[in-house]
Amino acid sequence: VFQRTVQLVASAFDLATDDDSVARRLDDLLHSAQQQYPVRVRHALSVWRSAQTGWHFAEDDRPPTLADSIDAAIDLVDRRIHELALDALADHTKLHAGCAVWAGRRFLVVGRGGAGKTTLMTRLLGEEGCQVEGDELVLLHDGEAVAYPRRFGVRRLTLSLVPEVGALAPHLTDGPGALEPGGYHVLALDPARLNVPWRIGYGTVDVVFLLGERISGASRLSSCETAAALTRLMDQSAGPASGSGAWVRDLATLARNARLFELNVADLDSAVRLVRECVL
Amino acid sequence: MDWTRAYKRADGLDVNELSDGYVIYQQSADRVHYLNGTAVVVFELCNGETTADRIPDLLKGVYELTDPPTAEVEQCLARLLDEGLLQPA
Repeated sequence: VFQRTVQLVASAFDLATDDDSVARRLDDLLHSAQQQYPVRVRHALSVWRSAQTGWHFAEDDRPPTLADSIDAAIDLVDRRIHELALDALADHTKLHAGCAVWAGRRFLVVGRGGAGKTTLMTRLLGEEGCQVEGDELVLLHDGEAVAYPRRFGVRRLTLSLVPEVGALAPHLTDGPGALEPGGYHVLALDPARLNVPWRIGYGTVDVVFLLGERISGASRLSSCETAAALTRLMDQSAGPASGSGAWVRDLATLARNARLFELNVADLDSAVRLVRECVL
Repeated sequence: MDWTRAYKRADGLDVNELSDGYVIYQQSADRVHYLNGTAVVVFELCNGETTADRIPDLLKGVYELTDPPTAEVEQCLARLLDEGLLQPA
């Protein structure tokens, strides 16, 4: 019997199966991030196979549901843990951003899909003293930010930019939405595989980098006016269930507490240098 | 806009302070407004008691101007009224 507990911010999931192949698939699916966020809710999910009726999925005390195949059963687990985890954070604003802490100072890298968040955050994994927490989704509430634990979705095409990760490529499995529009192939990277501890804390944000258009030459950093920054933060976020007022409040608090910059990335080394100079 | 009237904040505004202005969520219109520093001062002076005709002189004092910025205040008040952020007191 495989039993594993995984934490997704405020939710803990006790997963169980009696099938080895399901266990392997779940291991591939889960992350290894150590989190400080207090767990507020627990769920029990299980998958098992019956010779007569096939694959079953059960969630807490609900009656089990049938799944057509092992793939369908794994998809159900994957979908439900994320739905339940995000339901538990319904009062948070969700922001498309990477998140890291460097010398105790938390910073976000905000940008649309394909802007280069994951590439920059992955490159930062190799920087001494930089604790990268997430590459894609950050939750904001009451002036605090927490990265949503998700294995990094690294595009195969960008692996050559971060050699340490490129060396791992043969061992990486497909990430969520493995084939993006445009034919990008996305691999799932658990930062712990680079022998760096993957820890996710939570707290106030000191610096926000808004990713702008890619440029040639050297990367460029410029301060960003609050009004323009707020517009871009709204474009890259979704508000909490409690409504737009709370959404604006979360973003205004972020903009008030943090220094706001636009970062135009050319090469990664110069971008990392600018981030370091700005944050430290 | 009537210079002899006092104005006040409209109902149903979520006002959030920033380092250089306000960002306001207007529930009735489901709209977000950004006010720069000067607009914030005008907005704050509209406290339901101060008549509009006093605002240019007050701003002249705040910003140590040589003349009261009457045209700018008129434009700002008109915009705030037009956007529904202010209402007659």
